[in-house]
Amino acid sequence: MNFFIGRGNHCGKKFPWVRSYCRNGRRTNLIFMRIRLIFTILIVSIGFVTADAAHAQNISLSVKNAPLKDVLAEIEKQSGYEVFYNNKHFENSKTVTLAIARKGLKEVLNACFKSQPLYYEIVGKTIVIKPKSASPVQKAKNITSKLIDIKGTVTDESDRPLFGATIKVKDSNKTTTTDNEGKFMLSEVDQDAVLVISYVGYQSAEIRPDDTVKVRLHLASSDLEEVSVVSTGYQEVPKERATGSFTIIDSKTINRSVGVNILDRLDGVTSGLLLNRGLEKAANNSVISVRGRSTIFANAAPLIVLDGFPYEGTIEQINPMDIENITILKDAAAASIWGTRASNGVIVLKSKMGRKKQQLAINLSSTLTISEKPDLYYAPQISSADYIDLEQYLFNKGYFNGSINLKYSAISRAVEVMNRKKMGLITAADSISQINELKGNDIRSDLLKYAYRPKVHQQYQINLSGGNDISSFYISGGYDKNLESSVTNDYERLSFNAKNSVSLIGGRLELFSDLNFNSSTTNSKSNAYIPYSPYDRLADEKGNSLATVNNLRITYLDTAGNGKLLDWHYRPKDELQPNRENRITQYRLNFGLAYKIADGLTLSAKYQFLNEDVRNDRDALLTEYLVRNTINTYSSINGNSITYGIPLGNILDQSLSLLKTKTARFQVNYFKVFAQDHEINAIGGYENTDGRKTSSNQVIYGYNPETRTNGNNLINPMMPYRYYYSRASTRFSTAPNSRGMINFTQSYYANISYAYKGRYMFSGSARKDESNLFGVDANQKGVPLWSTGLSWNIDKEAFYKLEWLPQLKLRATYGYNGNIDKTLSGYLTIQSLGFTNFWDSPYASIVNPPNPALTWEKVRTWNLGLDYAFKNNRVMGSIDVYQKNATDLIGNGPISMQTGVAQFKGNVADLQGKGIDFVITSRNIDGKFNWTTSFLLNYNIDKVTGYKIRQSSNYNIVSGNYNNPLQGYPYYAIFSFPSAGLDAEGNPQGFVEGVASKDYSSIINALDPSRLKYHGSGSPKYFGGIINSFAYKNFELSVNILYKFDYFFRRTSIFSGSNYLFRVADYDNRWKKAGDESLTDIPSLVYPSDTFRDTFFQYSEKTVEKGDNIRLQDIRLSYQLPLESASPLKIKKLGVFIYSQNLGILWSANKRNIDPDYGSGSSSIPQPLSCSLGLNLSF
Amino acid sequence: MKKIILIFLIVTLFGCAKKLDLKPESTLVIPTTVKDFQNLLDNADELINVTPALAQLSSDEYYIPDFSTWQSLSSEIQRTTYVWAKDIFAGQVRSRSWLVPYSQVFYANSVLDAIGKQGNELSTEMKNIKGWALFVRAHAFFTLVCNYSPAYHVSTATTDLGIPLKLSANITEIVQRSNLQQTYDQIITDLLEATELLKTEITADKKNRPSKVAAYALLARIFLNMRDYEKADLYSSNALNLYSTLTDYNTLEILDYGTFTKNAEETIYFTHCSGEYAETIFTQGDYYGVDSSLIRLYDPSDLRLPIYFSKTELGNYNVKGINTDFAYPFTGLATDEIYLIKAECLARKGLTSQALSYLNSLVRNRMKAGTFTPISAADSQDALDKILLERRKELIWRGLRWLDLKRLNKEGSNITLHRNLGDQKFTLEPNSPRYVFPIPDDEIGLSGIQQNIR
Repeated sequence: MNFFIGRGNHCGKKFPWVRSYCRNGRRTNLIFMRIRLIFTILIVSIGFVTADAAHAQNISLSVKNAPLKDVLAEIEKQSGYEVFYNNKHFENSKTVTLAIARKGLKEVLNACFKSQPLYYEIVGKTIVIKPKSASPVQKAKNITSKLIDIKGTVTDESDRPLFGATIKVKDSNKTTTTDNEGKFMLSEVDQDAVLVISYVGYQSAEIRPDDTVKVRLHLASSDLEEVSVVSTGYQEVPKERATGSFTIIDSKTINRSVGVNILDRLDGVTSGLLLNRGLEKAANNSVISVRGRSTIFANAAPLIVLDGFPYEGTIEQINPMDIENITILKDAAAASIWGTRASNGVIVLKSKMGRKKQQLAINLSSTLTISEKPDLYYAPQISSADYIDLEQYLFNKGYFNGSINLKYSAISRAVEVMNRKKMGLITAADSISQINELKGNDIRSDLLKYAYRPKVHQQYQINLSGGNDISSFYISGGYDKNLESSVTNDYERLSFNAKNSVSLIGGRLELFSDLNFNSSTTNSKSNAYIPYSPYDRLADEKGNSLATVNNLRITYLDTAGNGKLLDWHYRPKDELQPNRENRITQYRLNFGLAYKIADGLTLSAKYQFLNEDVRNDRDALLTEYLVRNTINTYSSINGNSITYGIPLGNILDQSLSLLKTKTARFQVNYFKVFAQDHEINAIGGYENTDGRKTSSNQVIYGYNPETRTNGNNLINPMMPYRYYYSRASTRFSTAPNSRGMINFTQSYYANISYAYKGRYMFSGSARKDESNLFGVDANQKGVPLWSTGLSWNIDKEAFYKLEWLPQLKLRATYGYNGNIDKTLSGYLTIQSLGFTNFWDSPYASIVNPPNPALTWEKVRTWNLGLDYAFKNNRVMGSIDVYQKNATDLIGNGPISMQTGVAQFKGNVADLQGKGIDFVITSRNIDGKFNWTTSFLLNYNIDKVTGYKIRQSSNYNIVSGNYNNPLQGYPYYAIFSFPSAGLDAEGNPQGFVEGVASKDYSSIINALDPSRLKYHGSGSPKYFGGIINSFAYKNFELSVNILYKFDYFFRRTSIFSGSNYLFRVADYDNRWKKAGDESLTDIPSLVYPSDTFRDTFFQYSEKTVEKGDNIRLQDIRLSYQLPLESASPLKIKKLGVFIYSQNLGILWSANKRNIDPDYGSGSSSIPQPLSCSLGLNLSF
Repeated sequence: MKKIILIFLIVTLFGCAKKLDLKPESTLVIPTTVKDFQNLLDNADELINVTPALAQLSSDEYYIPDFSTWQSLSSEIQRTTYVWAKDIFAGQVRSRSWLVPYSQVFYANSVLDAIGKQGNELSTEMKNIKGWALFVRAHAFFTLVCNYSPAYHVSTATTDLGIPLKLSANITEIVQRSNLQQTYDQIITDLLEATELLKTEITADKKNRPSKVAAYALLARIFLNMRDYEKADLYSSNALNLYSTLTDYNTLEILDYGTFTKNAEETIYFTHCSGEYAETIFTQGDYYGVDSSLIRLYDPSDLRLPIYFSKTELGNYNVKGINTDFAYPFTGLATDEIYLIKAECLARKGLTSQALSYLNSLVRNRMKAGTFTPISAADSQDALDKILLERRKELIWRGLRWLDLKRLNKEGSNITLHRNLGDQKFTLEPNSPRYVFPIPDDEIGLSGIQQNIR
């Protein structure tokens, strides 16, 4: 802001009325600069220790006839208090002569002001100097209607400047706002006027002005710390000045929950953001979505920005404890500054930082979370007895003949008994007793006993922050350790962070550095045990491990090789050790500088280097089944000699990927207020990102970890190694393979905002992205995207009189974001993965048929928003209405096979999304006992408005609608085959031309989508959360309830007649006898298998369920210990909390006990109930 | 200061312009060189050198012992093709029997289109690549026409339906079915051009690649199939003039799992049958075996018996790798087939002794040393019968029987096939429309081409 313009005089710009060195001329300034520089270096090198010392209240002074302001400057330095005064007050001040050693602040000040025409007041951490003679009241009496110029600052409770606070002269049109240092100036204000200072989320204050004003605003509610500045990653904008749609999550909300992954902590507390875990896992699906769907086949995940740079690393590497706040950029005006990466929304993470003039603060936190063992009984399973009956039925029909025919082919234990009985090897009585024994087993009890444990998660973090006049720092260290519920799996993360910022040249140059290091290790078991039958056993009564069926028949393995081979049995209980280690090591360096060229004009440069090293090693030991089986399979026995195709030893599968990303950015920032009423805030810049990823993989056979030698050169990669037991053979490639990826983008961007009288705001942004898209003409490599927005602070209008609604703001924005599918190309492209064919020639595949018309995806978005706050912020919130029109989306569809490709991808689809984000926070009871409710409601629907490729069969639509979107329906549309129920023989029936029919293949292969039943979207239309917080004295309790309404999901793994698996539901409810058709929907058991009958039923309307549910997500109870400010250990804060998550579903539309977030798949198990105990300590 | 920044900016921006041309993924290539095209056509194992299994599944070289075994077959198509059902796909989509040959055509067309853009002056290597692509396209079209069109007859060829002839890689272009004459004309034109371009010699260690010998051999097979015995004679001679090596089976070691490699001496061009439908195609174990009446055709001293087949515990016969060391059956071109074509054409011309000399050259190499007695014939018809019998024995399990059944029934051989599954009996009459497979429903649905009436 420009209210301290001193012509040709650049020094003291920051605190012009505090510092008066300028008067002494340039020389002093230079000397001072040098002193500051040295001081800075000292501060940086000795870090927080100095900072701590500087803030001690023991002040020593020895001055003789020193000007008062120099003495005050010294006091300021020693005490860490800021002295606040107007230069003109010193005109009559007297010099000071003093000799004081290690005295308190008040004592020192009293001595200084003893004979001055001035007096002082201590307000918080500020010393305010005022003239004794003329208090404002007296002045007012003497001179009527004197007009004065007012300068001032507005800060929050911890003296952080508030950027964008509104200062309004009561009963006049005169308003202004604070700049990014919290300062403001108003000229020609009636001395008697009252200033109203307001800020979103804070209680407004009314003051009578002096010519210098310092205002500290208090939070509207202690429960809801409203972050007042939104960060786009490129700039920080006061929320009041923003035109776009943002959601801000503060650190308190982030730390309400305890997840390792920062994004998980956004669930249910973030307006416009949905975590939909029940979606099908696919490359183009994203669990997390901002305002629904904007693409079909391109990346659907929002862009993550960490400290101003797109974050390309692994998301779990970010320690949530280091994050200060999160801003979600939702509409075009907010996000289009990110151009082609913004179409799915942007999540901006801002990490914690120390503040200048802040005493050393040390925070310690520790959390212990324990979760129940997973509920294995959630996933459907046929009982052992029923399954053996099913096997007996199939055995009698000859179903297992093929497997039995091949002597080595695996058959279950029960079928083994049946076959032995049939061959006359055992008596009928023996077979019955053996079968009965099997019927009594249940593998799940053995799994729970041996393979699972309660999950234990430990988190520790320490951080130190502080700062002096010119620098600030933040250092943190974190450690996480998870013992996962599977006994073979654990996780460990170590993170370290050191940030530093220094201002030089009197604050004109800001230097910034951030060093981040983290590493995580995940241990797991590859080829984890999967039961072959429900009656498998891991161990006998004594706990001795038992052999179970795997890929080969147990009786075959008993004798195979006559003892010359390695033991060939699979005993899962002996293999409950991890054999896979995934290690991620990441370091990230950020450097930045900002140089203030002229008033309001700053040049900045930023650079980030990220290096992430991911090693994924599977070291399978010779003792493991995986290795023994491989070696045995490729062994051959000739007489007494055995030849190993695969050398004896471990099999080590190493993969390595290395990501290096370098981003550089140059930016010009301009901020100026003209003639009080016109405020311009603009940025423009250039950035480029050069990301390179290399990955390699090699399998090492016959590995000896002690000597680190291997037997790879004993393997002939050209030779097909024959199986021990069949005619099949395999070639083993021992060569490493590697590939590299380069992602280069460069962008030009600009954002300008203009505010008139703090009432009318206009914003515009434009960005052009260019990328190394493959095989696209240069002019198509870049795409210009833009946005524009308007907002209107109605409450600042003179005509606005609603006292009960002091804050009201309208916003409207419009613009474009983009997206790209980098796997596509305009040209014919082929890929050679380095493998060779049977004739040892390298070969290539066509990955992309030519498509000269390929272009970028574009999303056009408009947003209308309203922000409001009732008096004293008792009720506040916002409503946003938006519509997104995505065009030129990459879609695919089946094309005629005569083209040689069964699918084609191109810019063929259009998608429209609409929605409402509604947020309301109400302080229901405010007093000794506080009750606050936050309510989030999101409404989101989408529709495929265009799809240029013809769809294939109805089966493709019901089974893979995500890959085959249908025009006029949502992207996640759930369709089914209409059902006519079961016929008298238990056959499921559909409809052909309106008549009940069992012509399954014609129902399935029909090409007419109108014959399908449309249920709705698989993504909830309404969703959100309700957080109720209660506070009494030092206790605080908050309860988060999440809800999702109006969506559907399909039950999977249901018995459908001939899916003879044991991990299915409703086997017992199948049609068994005439008349059952009126009682059940589950088809009768049939043989031989009829896949079309199965498919029809699995995708019939009988398997679609409503997903609507309300769940108690979590409860948190915290207690803040009441501490004396002068506690002996200098503990400032000590808090404990109990947090419990996944407390269960309160209400669900489906009455089958299926959690729609996890589905009913054969391996789906919901997150178990967890309970955490945490401790936070601050010094 | 500002100047420095400006210079720095300019240098950075300039340096970055080039980076926009970097490949996003190291393994991606826009094909332009001989090496690139060669790599595409060398995509042999799963694509270029694969032939569909339908003909093998429907022919009379194997049997399934009983109804319950037939019923337990894992894939519907194995069941329907065994009994020559009207609708063999029974709703299955993306049939590889249709898609794979058309993918071969797509690869070949992609190469041909790209070479077409390089002008008329082609290097010798590039000419060979062009010939290779033409050969691949012709081979794929021929595979398709054998499966999805009736046997060729000169009088009905312009009215019988051929196959869609995709001649460009443009995937937005949909082609309707040509007539049978047009199909064969296209195949022959491609192959004749290929003979001009392909290098003469067979590459001994890369038999997945075609040569001039292979083009002649394929022409011989095609003309035989069209019952143009004159031209079949010509091209079999052309092939044998360049390469006529036969392997004396006495020199081969008899191994449990098969004797040959993928570069067997007699092989001219290697293809293998698609690996789907493994239970019947691979004939493993006791239940699925080579037709025992077929096994009985071999003389006990015939070395093909132990080299081609293995005997199971129950006494039936499984096929071992013939001209291959893989479980997938060999369906490529080899000299033995060309000898038999040559012999048949000569016999049909009435040149009995010449025909027998080709037949005996082959059979001599198949019999245990010292047991061979030259085959003689009373007349040319007797010679032809003996040649056709030898054809069944020699070319067993190579996917050729179905073609022969279609052709010989057109010649009037009147061969009726039978299948018995318990009480159910199935027959396939000579020249039945069931000899023509239906085109997959999803192709019909998306391109609207005409379906076969079966």
